[in-house]
Amino acid sequence: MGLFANLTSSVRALNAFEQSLEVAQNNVSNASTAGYAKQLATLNALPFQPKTGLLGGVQAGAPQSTRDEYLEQAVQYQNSVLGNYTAQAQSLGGVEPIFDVTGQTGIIAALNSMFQSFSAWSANPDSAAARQDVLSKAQDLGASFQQAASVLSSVTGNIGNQIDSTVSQINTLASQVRDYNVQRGQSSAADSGLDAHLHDTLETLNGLAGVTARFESDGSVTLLLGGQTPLVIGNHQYSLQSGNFTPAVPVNPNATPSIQILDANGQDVTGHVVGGTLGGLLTVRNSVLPGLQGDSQQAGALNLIAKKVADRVNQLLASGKDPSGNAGAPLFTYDASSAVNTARSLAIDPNITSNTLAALNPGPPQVANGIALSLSGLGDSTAATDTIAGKSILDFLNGQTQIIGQQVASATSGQTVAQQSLTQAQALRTQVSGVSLNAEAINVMELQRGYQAISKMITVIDGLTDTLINMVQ
Amino acid sequence: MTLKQRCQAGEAKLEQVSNALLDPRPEILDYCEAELQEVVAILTGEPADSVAAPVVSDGPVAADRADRNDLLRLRHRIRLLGMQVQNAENLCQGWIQLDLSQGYTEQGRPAVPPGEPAASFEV
Repeated sequence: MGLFANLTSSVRALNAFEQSLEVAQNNVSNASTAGYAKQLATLNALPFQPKTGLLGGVQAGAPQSTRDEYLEQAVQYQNSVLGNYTAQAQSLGGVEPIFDVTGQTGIIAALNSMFQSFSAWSANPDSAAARQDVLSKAQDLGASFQQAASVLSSVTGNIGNQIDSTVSQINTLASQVRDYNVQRGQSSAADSGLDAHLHDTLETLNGLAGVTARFESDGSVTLLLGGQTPLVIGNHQYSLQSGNFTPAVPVNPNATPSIQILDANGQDVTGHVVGGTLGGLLTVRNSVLPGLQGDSQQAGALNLIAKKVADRVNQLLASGKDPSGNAGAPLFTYDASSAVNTARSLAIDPNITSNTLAALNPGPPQVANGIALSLSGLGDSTAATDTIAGKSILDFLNGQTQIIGQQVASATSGQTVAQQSLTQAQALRTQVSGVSLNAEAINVMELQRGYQAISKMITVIDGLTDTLINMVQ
Repeated sequence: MTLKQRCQAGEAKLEQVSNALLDPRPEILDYCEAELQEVVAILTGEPADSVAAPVVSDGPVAADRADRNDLLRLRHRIRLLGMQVQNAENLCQGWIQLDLSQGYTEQGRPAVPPGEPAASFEV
């Protein structure tokens, strides 16, 4: 073995270890870089055949990333779920106070107060104070409906702005992925810095919308919204935009339009938005809020209640006689030009006075407080003319309150579970990063067994709690 | 221990388990299993000072609405924890299937893991 051969071998080894040190240094430097996955230095053994002049030793191979795409996608998916529930919980949080489940504030409180004032009036139909109280409570109810409609309108506007802003963020992030593809196409080897930035971008992007990233054989990334709508293919970006949508023949022409997401060709791809902040915002904006305030096709629960209360109160009063013997005057007025305007325009009729309130039912038989009595029972009446969707006014209102309450609770629970699942997935990703596949497998299989054991214990406790609940009456 | 105290103690332990599971390591999972066994013991233990503390017995137990609400809240908490664990279990299962190519039928479809069917939780 010649001196030159020995030196060459030593130089290769020194180079190899120098590159290993560089990889280690790179790992330390990027320890807090978002999206960075540790790199492993690889050393390749060289053949040792002294007779043919091959003296063995080592040479540095290409650094290998410890990134596990399965766990990356698990984190991205959980980010998408979390974004969806968080957006729903926050948006619905603004709606919940309108339907105060305690009945202390909002429409429920105002409606109950008005029915109580009818009841007090029926006990003393000639009392000026009782009549004045009816007017006062009716005025409060109108104000309460107007305020509720105003809050819903404000929440709708805020969500619309958030949707615009989220779509804009998605387009910005998609452009970064396109830039990655451009840079990746210009270099033959993978760059750990670029890779870190890409994965950080994908994580953020999935928090905004459910996005599928497909790694192509040329190293580029194809980005699909909901697994279908292209956002980035190679060096091309396809931007999204948001817009209003009203059907060709709307039942309520002046209703707030729904929002749709359009692809680069102007096609409606709203159905492809299945997760992330955007998915949550669209759910509340296009499904929950229209059910309350109405849209082009429906009046909305709030307007249905306002209309039923106003119409039935006015009809009952009109069928009675006031103290002067005249037919009763209407108590409420509202804009009847559109079914979606009722709540926002409900108010007491400016012409009514306490003296034109009709308590007497002319019969036969004539009952001095007949109308006031009927009004006091209107909230709980199950007569066909007094019901909404087969329920009494108060039951219908309570039903809406429960629906909103359940939606908020479901979104909040989902948010909690998604946050925990995301943290777990991130922890698992960190734990397996930097170890060999075998060590990773041992870790994961051990964890899997542990989770199975815990899952069985949870099933036992769940069953036990069920038994206790059934026993407690 | 009254039923309310049992529920509160159980809920506190479930909260601890839920937080501990955010750092999934085998030794942590062992600790969580032991904690859950304690929850079972708390819920099945003999009542000491309250008639309203039901343990598994033969008939309905008189208890007030607050007791029932405590139990409902406890059940909600355990189901949230169930979803958290189920999610982590699925994550591990998916990793094993993908990275080790285990858990597939000969036709290449994911095989149902042997043993009891997985629990499902609704909250």
